[in-house]
Amino acid sequence: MSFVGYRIDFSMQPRAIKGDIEHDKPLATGIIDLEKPPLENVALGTPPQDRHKPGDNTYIWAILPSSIPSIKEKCAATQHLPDNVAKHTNLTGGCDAYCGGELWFQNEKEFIFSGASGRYPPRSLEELEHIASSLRALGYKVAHLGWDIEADNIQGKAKRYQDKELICI
Amino acid sequence: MIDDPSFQKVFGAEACLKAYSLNEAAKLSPQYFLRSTGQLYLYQGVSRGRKLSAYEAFERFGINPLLETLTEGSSVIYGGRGEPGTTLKKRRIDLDISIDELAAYIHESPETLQNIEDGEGDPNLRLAERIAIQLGIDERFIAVEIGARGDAGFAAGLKQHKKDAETGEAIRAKLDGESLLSLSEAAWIVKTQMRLSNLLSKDKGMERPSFATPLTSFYGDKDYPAHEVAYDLAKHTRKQLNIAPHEPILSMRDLCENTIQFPLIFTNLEKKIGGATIASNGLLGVVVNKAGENSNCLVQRMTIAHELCHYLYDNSTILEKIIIDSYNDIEPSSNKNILEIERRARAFAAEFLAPREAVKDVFESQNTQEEGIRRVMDVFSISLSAAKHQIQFSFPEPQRFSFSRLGSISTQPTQDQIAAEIWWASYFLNDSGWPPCSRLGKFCELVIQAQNNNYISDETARIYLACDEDVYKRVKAQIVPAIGLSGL
Repeated sequence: MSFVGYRIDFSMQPRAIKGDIEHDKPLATGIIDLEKPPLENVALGTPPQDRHKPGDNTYIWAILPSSIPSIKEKCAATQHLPDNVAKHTNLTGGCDAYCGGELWFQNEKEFIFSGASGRYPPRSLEELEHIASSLRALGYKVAHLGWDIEADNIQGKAKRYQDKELICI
Repeated sequence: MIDDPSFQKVFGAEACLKAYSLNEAAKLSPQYFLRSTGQLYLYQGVSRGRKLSAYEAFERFGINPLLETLTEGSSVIYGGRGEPGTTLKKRRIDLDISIDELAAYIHESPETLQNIEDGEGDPNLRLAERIAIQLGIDERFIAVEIGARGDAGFAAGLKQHKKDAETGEAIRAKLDGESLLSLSEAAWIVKTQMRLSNLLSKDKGMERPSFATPLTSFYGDKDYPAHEVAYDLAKHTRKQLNIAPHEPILSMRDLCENTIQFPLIFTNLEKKIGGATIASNGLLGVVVNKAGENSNCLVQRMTIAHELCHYLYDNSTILEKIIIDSYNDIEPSSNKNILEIERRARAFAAEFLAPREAVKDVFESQNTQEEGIRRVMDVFSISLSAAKHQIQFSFPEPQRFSFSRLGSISTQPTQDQIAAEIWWASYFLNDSGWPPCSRLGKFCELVIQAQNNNYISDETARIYLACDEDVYKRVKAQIVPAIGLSGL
């Protein structure tokens, strides 16, 4: 129910980047649905700090019409993929999605997320904030990495690094 | 030829077809990238990000972040928490410059600078770059590398000089905050000019000429006094530069910038300072004060010649500490209260510009002493005090030579002498928003050439020349015909 408003306010988008064909195939195992808490057995992680400190135990997520699939970027289910890494299109089967990003669990009910998806990037800070509110409504405590206001086009881009302390609320 | 499809996507197929290395492909690439404080993106049209040429992006970050912009939409280049504030604050403190002094100098409020240093408020890469340049650190790596390749030795040298001058522990020209900032900016210009010059020299297939001069740490003794050492060094230098013994040097600026090829930076310093020879990250350059007595180009030539001696023969000293000269160090006088290194440079400058033998011939060819002095000033383009000094010391027993009661002699240069040295007076209009004098001259030429050759983007060129888009176009319009560039 919590993502109903989001799905009304924002449209689906086709993937922005076309990658390896293996990355267009949906994965059969390893996927959790963020829209169906409580979650179990998630790997706790840390978001990337800077170019020297990449994220640890990174999950990727994508918002689809009726679910928010998420998978640990590198896990047993992704071993067969190029670089052993899942891409957002492995969650969407290469089809349209609302938005995608990355996340790092602090515990099973708390995580930091970003809109770092080359394929389904959030289109504005408002979209990212809307996603955060919807996740909170599902019972999670969350914080996001923010928005690069100096970036690319007029809307900017989601940040992929953490330069300040974040508190999940 | 580079046939990897990923590299072709980054740099363009045509560039990769013509290139034999990634470096070459980056240089030939028509692609642009954008950076923010922490991320890199592929350029896709109108944008507010900081625009970089493919070569700049490749040179700064390597190939992997560029590839990642294709596969992930962006790449993290951020160097560490607290950047760029931590680096800028440390550098400012190392240089002993207050936040108020820096703010006033770059026309920003102290609160804005405080926010940047503390990492408060919205990030502002362009302002961070501007501050980095003013503090003499490498703006290319601001927020990317902690310290941004600033030369700690240079900052320590400036700070020590300031302290020595204030405490009177050494005979040193005093430095105010503005002079410190002008000198630290000059350190950035030295590094950047040498980098661009090296890139462009490779393009032309030629290396910078090498001047095999005997570096000497000998400053004279009772058998071979300092001024004799200086005379021999001047003679040697003229020979190395293929300047005939009696030949006047028409333009010291041209000699330094185009023949010897080192950065010569004109800027505003405290008015008692004549010039300085500085080293930053192991690279040397000369700074000339526009203010004070140098406003007379005949004095300015003496200053440049004096600094040339430091540049050529005192470089091991300069690598350890900055040399800042007051006019008292430069102009010939009977004042002996100067350092050995300055005594030698002072005698060198006079002899280099006006060798005594040649001076004597010119002086004796005139009917009166007044005419002789003025003729020496005109032929060799030297100041009145330098002319009198060289005339006196061209005689076997200088102490016994005396000038008769001299009539009035103009100390002012001729229009030709001004045109040869104070080139910006006629070359550029003094518009508001025009690049500051420190960024003009050879530096300006190299920036425009580098942009023309895709080494830097048009935005980088504007940042380097501290001007807006409209002014940059007008600067180019004046420079391009003068340096014979085509295709702009």
